[in-house]
Amino acid sequence: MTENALLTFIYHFTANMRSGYNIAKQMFGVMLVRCPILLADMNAFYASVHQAMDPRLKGKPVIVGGDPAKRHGIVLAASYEAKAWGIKTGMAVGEARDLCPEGIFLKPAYSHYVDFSTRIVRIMKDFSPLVEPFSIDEAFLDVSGCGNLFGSSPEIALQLKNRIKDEVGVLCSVGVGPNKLLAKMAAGMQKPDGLTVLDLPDVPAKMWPLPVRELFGVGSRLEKRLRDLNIRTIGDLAAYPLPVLQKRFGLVGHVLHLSANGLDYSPVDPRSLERVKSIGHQITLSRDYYGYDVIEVVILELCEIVCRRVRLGGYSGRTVNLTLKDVEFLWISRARTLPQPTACAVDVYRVAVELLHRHWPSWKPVRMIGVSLGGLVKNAPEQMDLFGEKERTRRLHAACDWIKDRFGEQSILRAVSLTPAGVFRDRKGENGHG
Amino acid sequence: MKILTNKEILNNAVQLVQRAVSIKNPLPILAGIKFETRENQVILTATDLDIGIRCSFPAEVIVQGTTVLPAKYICELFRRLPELPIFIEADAATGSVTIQYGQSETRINGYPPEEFPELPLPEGINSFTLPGELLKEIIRQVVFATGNDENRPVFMGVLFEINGSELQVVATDTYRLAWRKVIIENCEETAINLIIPGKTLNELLKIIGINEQIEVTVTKNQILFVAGNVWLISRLIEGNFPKYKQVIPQNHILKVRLKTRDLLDATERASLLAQVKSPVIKLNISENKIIVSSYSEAGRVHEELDVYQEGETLQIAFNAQYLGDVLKVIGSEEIIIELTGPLSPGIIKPVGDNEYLSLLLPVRLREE
Repeated sequence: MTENALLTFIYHFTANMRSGYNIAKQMFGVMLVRCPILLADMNAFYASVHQAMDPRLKGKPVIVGGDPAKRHGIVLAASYEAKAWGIKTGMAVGEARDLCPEGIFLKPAYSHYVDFSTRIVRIMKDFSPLVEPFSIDEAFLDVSGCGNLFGSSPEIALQLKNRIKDEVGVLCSVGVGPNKLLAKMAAGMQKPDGLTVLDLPDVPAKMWPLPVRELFGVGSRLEKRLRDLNIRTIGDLAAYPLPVLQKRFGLVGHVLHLSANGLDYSPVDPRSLERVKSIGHQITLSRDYYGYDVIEVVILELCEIVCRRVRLGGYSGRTVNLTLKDVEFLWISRARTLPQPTACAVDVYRVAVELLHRHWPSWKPVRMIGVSLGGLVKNAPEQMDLFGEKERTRRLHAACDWIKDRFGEQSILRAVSLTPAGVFRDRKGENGHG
Repeated sequence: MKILTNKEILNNAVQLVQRAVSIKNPLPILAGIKFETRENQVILTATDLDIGIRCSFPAEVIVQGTTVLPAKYICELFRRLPELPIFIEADAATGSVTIQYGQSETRINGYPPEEFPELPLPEGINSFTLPGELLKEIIRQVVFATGNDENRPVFMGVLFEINGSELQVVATDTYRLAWRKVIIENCEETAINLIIPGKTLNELLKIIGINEQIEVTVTKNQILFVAGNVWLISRLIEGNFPKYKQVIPQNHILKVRLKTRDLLDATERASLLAQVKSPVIKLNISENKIIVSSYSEAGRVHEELDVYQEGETLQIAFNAQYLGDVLKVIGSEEIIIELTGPLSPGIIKPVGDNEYLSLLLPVRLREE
């Protein structure tokens, strides 16, 4: 049997393509890529994009943020030069101006960021088709099968960094690891312009001393609950008895245990961003809203916007989520699932209002409202109903959508949008974006 | 109160009435079962204020009286009692109840019986009788089509419409509809229109025995079913049932006749591989064949059934769960399906029977 025929045989014999490949590698000495997963994380991405587009900004403190005139303008990104002045993401723009008077303040230009992000992903696809965009400035790359083409994974990481620097003009930190978790952890270890390899044997020395908050998947709430168990570092978590974690956190507890030990079995999925899971919209109100009646007006407007976007994508969804923030910015988020998927604002509104009445006391003022529809399915089959109600609402939505497509989002509105409590008509009138 | 009885009678009665016990109700007394004696009968009652069930059985009553016992404990205890004569004695002064069997005894603290709500027994305004078997069949054939949306209570019930000696029973959740007609004998000439909660009828199904006549008494907002020694009282659902007759198609463009079992088996197999979130199967009808198919990420099913066909060819999709529900209760070996279009309701009925039909709304498939 020739080597090729045997390879083909093994390839077809093993159901899983990747394991077939690995067997072939072991038998014929194909170079195995150790630590095949890379994460490229763009440094100060928004600010870097502006610096790449306008060379005059190079080496200057660039701050991208909301309109400083508006009360809720915050810093979205700051270049490393600006960070040296003590400017942090999430800070109020006014505060940033006080800290760094020479700073160059820019409004965000999302279309450029998307454009740069797409170009970076395209470069990554030159190495392997297994690219999973994780956010606008991060993407995973699986180079398992690229050893003979491009060399070891740190070599690939270096080539990738250089190409992004030369062709796009932004710097990135690349993390290299045996799985997505360690690649992600590695990328965070050296910023800016880093290249870090984090293999399983490095986990005790490099990862365990870090505070548990640094572990991928641990947010501030989980951190607090872990502190109640006297878990402060990732090492504490790794050493913690698994049954207790499982009892306390369920499935999440098991995942935490694996993560703290550097284990992660999730594949790099090039299509993960194509599957939209939920669509939502939220708005910070310009004043406190008191009473269900006015809050419900905003909820209805949000439902209209969310459902319009859901329909534009050809989706329908089942899980309605309502988020509310009070004056102290304490927030709650509550969800309920419908028996049938919908893309109709009234269906979503009915559930959102139910959630409002159940979980928010009527006397409490509201500063931010968010509505989202999750559990989305594309082109879901639609159950007809006996009295034709669904068909009638479907036609109504189709007609409204057609009018909006033709004459703009403001061309047809619900009457409540004209009442003083309505928010969307006024805002759009002022700054003309939707 | 002091009574002498045996395990079997006692256990059967308790298991029957405990279905109406309400554990979650803020009124603690509703978690109890009321025992009362009347001559040489013992009457057990339980209610959650929506439904009430009472059951009487003969026993040796030594001392007359009343007591209320927590259902949670006596249901389990009575099931485990030995096959011996059983004495139940309530101490009216302390409220505690002693259950004696052989050399042993168990003492359970009861509730004060005066707190137990009186079951408001309807004064007969209208009444009729139905053979138990028939009532059971009617309920089973329609109750599956009731909905569970609490915002639309009318669809959570079953409409009973009596006109002279004709009884029509209908349920719908707006996605399907089931209709049954029967002739009732010995009924006064009356017109009754009432909506009975689906939950009540599901309970009734479990109570009706074989070879029983069921007496039904109706008032403005209540209904009473009497099956031998068991009474079931329920409130009725208020509201107007929609005019369902006008949505039943009168004409059709395609009619097929086939074996119920064949379609049910194919439907159940196909639903296994249908999408989890919406179990939709496709029916492709042409040239005396129905092709039942479904697909999902897990795989695909393709089944061909031979049928007798009249009319045009058509492709239609249904929720497999809904289709299976009808086929399971239709109770005839062969069925007729009549269709008017891919997005219009389909009619399913037994061959040679105009007393039952089920309406099923299709699903609209969207191009991928």
